[in-house]
Amino acid sequence: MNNPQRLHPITILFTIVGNLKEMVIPLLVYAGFNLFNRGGGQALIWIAAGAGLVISFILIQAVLRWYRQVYFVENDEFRMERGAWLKKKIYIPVERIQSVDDVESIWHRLFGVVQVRIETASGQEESEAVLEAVSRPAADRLKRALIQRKRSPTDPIEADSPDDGTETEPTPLDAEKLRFGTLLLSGLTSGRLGVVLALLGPALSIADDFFQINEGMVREAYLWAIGMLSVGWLLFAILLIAWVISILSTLIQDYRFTISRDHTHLMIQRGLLERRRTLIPLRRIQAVHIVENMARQPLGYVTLRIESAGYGAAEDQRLIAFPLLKRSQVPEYLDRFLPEFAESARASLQPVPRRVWKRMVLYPLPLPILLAAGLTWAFPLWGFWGWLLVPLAFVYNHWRFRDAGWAMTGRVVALRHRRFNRVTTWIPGRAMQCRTRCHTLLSRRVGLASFRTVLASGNRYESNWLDEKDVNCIAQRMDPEPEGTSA
Amino acid sequence: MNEPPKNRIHRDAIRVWRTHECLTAGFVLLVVGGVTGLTFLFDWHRWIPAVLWSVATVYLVPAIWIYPLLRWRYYRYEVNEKEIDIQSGYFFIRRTIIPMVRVQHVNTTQGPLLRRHGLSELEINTAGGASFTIPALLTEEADQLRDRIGSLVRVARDE
Repeated sequence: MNNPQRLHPITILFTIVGNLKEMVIPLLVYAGFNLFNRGGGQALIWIAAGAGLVISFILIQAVLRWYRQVYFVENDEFRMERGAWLKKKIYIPVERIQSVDDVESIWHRLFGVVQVRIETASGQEESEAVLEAVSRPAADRLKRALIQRKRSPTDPIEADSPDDGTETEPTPLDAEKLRFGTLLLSGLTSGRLGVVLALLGPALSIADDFFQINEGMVREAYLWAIGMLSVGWLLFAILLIAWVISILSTLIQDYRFTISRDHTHLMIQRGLLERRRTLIPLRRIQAVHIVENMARQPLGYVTLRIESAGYGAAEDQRLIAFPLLKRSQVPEYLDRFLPEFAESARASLQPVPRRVWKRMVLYPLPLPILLAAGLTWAFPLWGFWGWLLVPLAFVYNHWRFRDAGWAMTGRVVALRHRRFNRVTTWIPGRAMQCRTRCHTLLSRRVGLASFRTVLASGNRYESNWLDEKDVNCIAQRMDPEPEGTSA
Repeated sequence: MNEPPKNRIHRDAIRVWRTHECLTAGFVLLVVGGVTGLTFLFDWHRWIPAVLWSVATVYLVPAIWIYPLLRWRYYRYEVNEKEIDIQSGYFFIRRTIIPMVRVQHVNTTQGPLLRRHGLSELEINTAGGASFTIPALLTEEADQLRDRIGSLVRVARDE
């Protein structure tokens, strides 16, 4: 891997297509301008000349870019040099790589190449280094070079895979495939219905722009639909369509989901049209989340997610480590793939102290009461319905109180919260950038405090009010290991 | 965790914060005064400026007189080989431990207000964009502490 490599020549084609897409509109404007200002033949010559110039520039640029872009691994660093006119050098120490993804879009699969993305903890949305298209063997070679770095004494000794020129993945210790039935169930309970409905709104407005929907048409369509079926059925049909779309999107995203693991890395593959494979070092995992949405919790199913510093802090960017599994299978599953967290998964959570109940349930009540009073005063006709908010807030907060919990086992802290989904987060001490105990003079009097921490991903986590001595205990015990290597 | 950290920040911090709050207050009063003027011009509801004035008073008076004092009273810090320990806040009192091996970089900054008092602010950054400040130290002290933390971080990392 020490000699510089170029990307696959197909990159040139991808670059050209990408640039042409960007250039289409300016070119059309230019052509229109010429047709408008100069008549017929002369205009065509100008247009041809202009278009020819732009296209040849794009061609030369693409070829140059491909020719000048090289990557190699040297000195425990991934190095990339790129740029058609200005040379840009990107050096990433292997130590700092959070994860390596390869993505195969439909186009990539057509030509048998993959896109490789290297993520570090910079917290930017963009990947640090993107190799637009490399052949699969080259991608495997690169990954292996990035994985087999100098071993720090903390890493378990891994069996050296002899480099006999065969281009295969390192053999995993263990792997688990998502069965199609489970995938289907995951689609049925994905809770994406809301998202799809939210998307249907803009879709309707786009249709409106296209077909110039006017009121007469709506009325006609409505009458036609009413003739066919009642309003209830119509709503039902819309919901059904949205639901089917949400199921399909889950299927496309998580089709043939596979997770596998060797001594130091986790590998996750998924996708029907776009295959995505993520390679993530176990020591780079910042936290593990168990997400139970309202459709899945009664069925006893959960989603397992991994937080890494490579993907920004957004909740939906957390890597899915398994789309759907039974709650009872979680510990066994963690044993196999994330042994660091297995012990904590077996420990039961402790509830937050009883005296927190009035802080969580009673203290927030004045707000809905004020709101309801305001509504009643402002809208005498229907405002009194606002009083429904008060029991709703009460029930919701009680529900949140009931599900809040925490635990500390070994070097891992567990925190459980609910907004709508119940989320259990396990954070290892090594991932905590800081540990904060927070209290007010009032909470101190009753011996309560909360625990906060920030992870390298930029996410901050805060516990509910807990016993102050427990918070002290967490804050003191969660020291990073002496040889704190992970980010 | 039961003993607060040893060191306090410079007493002049209170004056710096008060000046800062006074500037903010000036801006707020300008806005509120403007609204009051407009109310009389266009004959809006009288209760709009009344509400604004009372909210501004309730917010600004403690922000200028009381909070800076409390903030200074609670602010403590301590630096040893293993970690940085900071207590901050006046209503929510936060006690934060930052392990040395997690410190990414340390810098000192000095705004115009701090410069008048010969003070600097020390900023400690960790991965994930979390940053913690020790707000008012004599510039000399701040620079020394910055260098000391820098070398401690290197030692902690090499172990």
